[in-house]
Amino acid sequence: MRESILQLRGVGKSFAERGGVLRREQRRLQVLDGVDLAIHSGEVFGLAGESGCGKTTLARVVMRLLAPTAGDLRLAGIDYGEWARRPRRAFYRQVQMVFQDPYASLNPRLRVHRILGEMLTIHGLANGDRRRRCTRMLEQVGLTADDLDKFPHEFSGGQRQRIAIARALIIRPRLLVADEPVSALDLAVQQRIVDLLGTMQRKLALTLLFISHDLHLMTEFCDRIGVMYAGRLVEILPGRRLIEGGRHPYVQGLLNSIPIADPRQRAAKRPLLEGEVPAPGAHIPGCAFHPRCPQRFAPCDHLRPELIEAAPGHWIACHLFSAT
Amino acid sequence: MFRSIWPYIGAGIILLFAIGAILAPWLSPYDPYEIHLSEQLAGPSRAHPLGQDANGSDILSRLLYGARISLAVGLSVVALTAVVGVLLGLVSGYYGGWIDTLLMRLVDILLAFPGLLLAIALVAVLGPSMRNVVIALAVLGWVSFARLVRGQVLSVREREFVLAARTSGQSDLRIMVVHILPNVLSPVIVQATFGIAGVIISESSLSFLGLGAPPGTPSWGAMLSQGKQVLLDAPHVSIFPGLAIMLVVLAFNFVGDGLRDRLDPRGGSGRRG
Repeated sequence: MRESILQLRGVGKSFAERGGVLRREQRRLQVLDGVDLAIHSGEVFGLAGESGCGKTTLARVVMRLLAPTAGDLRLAGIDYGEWARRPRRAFYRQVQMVFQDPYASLNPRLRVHRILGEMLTIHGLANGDRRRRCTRMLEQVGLTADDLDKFPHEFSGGQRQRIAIARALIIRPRLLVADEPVSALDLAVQQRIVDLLGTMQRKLALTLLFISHDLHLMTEFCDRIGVMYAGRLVEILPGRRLIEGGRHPYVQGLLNSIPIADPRQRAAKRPLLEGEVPAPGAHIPGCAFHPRCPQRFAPCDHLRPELIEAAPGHWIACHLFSAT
Repeated sequence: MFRSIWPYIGAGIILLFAIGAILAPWLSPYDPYEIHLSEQLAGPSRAHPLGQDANGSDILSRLLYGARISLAVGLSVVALTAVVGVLLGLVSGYYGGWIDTLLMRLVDILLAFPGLLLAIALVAVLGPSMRNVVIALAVLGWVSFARLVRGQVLSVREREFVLAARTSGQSDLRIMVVHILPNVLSPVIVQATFGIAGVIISESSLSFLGLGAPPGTPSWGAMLSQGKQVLLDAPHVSIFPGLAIMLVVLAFNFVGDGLRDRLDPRGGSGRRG
């Protein structure tokens, strides 16, 4: 077993919905529900799922932007409770994040050299050659020294995302969390940003938690993929095996919804997902997917399936694959 | 920079009054305290372009010195309240929780007071002086800034560049000062401009009621008050300070409107970014 840089055990996050005059809690929205996950050092882990399934919440819990309401997390073997007692910058020296919307994630009033240089200052890495280090980082992500003195609004979406990547990587973190880093970009630009992330990941021996809803993009890029549904992980398997080997009924439904270019193959009618994704936090007993599942049977509506290893490296949470 | 001409006119008027205030000792033809009882209430003449008041003092000279009081009180109250209000609004919006609840309930309570009445009461307790007028107006003045900034912070706080600042590992103080403050300042500038106009009116009102500068001080409000007793016999004693108040307040409002159109992204006319 390889060393895990990030471990989640039973991580849950629920939000209180308050109402009435006294702002009393009306009900709890369970957005993350018992997430177990270990991300290995040096891998690209893809986290997939439709919008509203809790991917972004998971990223924010990992980044300590939100506090989990259940379970515990460890980064580099150290519990988050222990990290909280250390200086904030020590934690963020290990893990950095690239956000979804490059138009919102850069402070519009700071020039690029300040956006990057600030990171060096905060982490005590600015010893004289600040500008040179910023230049080198900028060149690594495909921009030039001339861009240092520009403001974010002078760049295109793809270029802005390159700046955001440079900001995250200039302090050489061990883990990079990329939350839908390309979904706000033009299709033509998406692949180039993914390629850049891949290059940087190899060059810096980075661990990457890549969050996306684009299964097609992820199969080639991710070593392992975890698929989430309604706040839970339903299947984890090697990325290149996803298309052929995805077994969970939800994952199969997702795969069937990927358009196929060849019209002859299209003739074979594939079952598509029925119904709608449940509202975030909706409480569904048993398996969260059972109301939409074409293969549901006796235990599904009251017994929650656990994530079990159906084949080496392939984990599924579905009663179809439970031994018992 | 501005689409219409009015903000420029406003800025021009403010500039003229500011020059008049700063250079009052050199520009005034007479000593504003000089008394000529033989020339009481004399109308405008070649020697006294705006006439003389009940003490025979030169009204033009008094207006120039009065500009010092109005602008100084306006600027100092707004500077003081803007700094305090922005700081409290920033903290309230950023941290939320009990600190926010506490501050905003205090704001609600202060907003429930009729502003000028509270100022009158405060000056009555503290005693009439310019310093106490500033204090009385500042006690309520910070409230609108705090409220405005808090609302702005609440929306900016959730934007991704602030989340990115939090995940960069920097301190809360630095996040507030470097990343949030510059992005909430535009409406504060607009509010401050209108605020100066409001304070000048309040100061004039307090002086008019005899609660401002000590008797004899050339404050516009006090001059108006003095003129009201002779309104029918010598209207020029009231008209000129009244015009001065109106012009300066109007000028600040013109500039405020212009700045709002220019800086408020929701106005749609300003350049983004």
